Amino acid sequence: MHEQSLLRSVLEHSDAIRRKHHASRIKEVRVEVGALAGVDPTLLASAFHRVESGDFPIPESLVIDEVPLTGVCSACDDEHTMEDFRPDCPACGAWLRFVRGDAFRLISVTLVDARNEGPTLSSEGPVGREESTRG
Amino acid sequence: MAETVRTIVVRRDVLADVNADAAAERVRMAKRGTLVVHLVSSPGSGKTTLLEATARRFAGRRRIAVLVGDIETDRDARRLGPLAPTVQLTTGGACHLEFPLVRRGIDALGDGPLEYLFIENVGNLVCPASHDLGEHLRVVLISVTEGDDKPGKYPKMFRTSRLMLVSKCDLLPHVPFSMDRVAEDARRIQPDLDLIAVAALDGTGMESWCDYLERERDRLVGD
Repeated sequence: MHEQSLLRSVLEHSDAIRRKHHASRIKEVRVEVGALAGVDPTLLASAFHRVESGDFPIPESLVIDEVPLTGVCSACDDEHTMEDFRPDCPACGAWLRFVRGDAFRLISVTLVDARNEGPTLSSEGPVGREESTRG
Repeated sequence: MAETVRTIVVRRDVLADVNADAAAERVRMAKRGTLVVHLVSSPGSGKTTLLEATARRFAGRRRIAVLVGDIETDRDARRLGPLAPTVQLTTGGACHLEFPLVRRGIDALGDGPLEYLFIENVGNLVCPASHDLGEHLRVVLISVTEGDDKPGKYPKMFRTSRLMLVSKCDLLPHVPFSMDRVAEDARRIQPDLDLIAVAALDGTGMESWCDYLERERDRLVGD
């Protein structure tokens, strides 16, 4: 299973975004897992719960949006979930053209900025930063 | 001290960077005149035996090289080494090859002229489907002893492949395997999938397979 190495790519990329935006930490990372992405959402979640802080801080949470395999009918243009790879339109029976559901994408990274309003810089530790990040 | 929370929208494939490297390699290999063929299958479907037979058929006509991926041992490289320049890629536990390791293998082979580069992945019908190795052609093998119900069970592998080789077809009289059923199951997932039945040990279908490769090479690389 390759979820651990994929998770590492997600976390590295997220942390690069955090550094680029000079944020102090990451509140949430959101990813999209298509039904045909070749990524198991359960294994991805468990890899996240087991990951240990190493080269960079670990985000507070990982949100996984599961995207079903979706096709558009070549005749009536209706969009349908392709259950079990059924290639025919449930409405009219014509061929479904695959449109969505095979990607594993990083959707967004929610950053927390700690702004020092006085002239003092970075002398405060992480204590006290926890409260305002929820909601 | 105040805190602000902001969300940066990314919407980007997680493997976008490594996929871009693989795509660049695909272009580079086409310019070298090399068709890169990526073989995937479950363990024991006959990838190495197919490559041995392919190397013998192309001997003296086409220059081929092989990158062979395994979790452990260099057994496949020792089989193929006498027939073609071969580099063993040992993943050290990982269940599939990824492009950076393939790149090291390509570098190890050097820049000599080459008509075909075959990449034999680790035997696994799941994870290799998600990784672009810079190939021009992905070929999935399914042996008749595995059963004709495999495409529907491993849809991504069949969806991302362009050719299905049904291997060990000399055993067809002895196993309950239907060519029609496997073709129908696979084309439900990938309507454009090509199909060739081969038996590398007795040579059945080897000519069709090598002709297919030559046509693909003409089409993708030019000659």
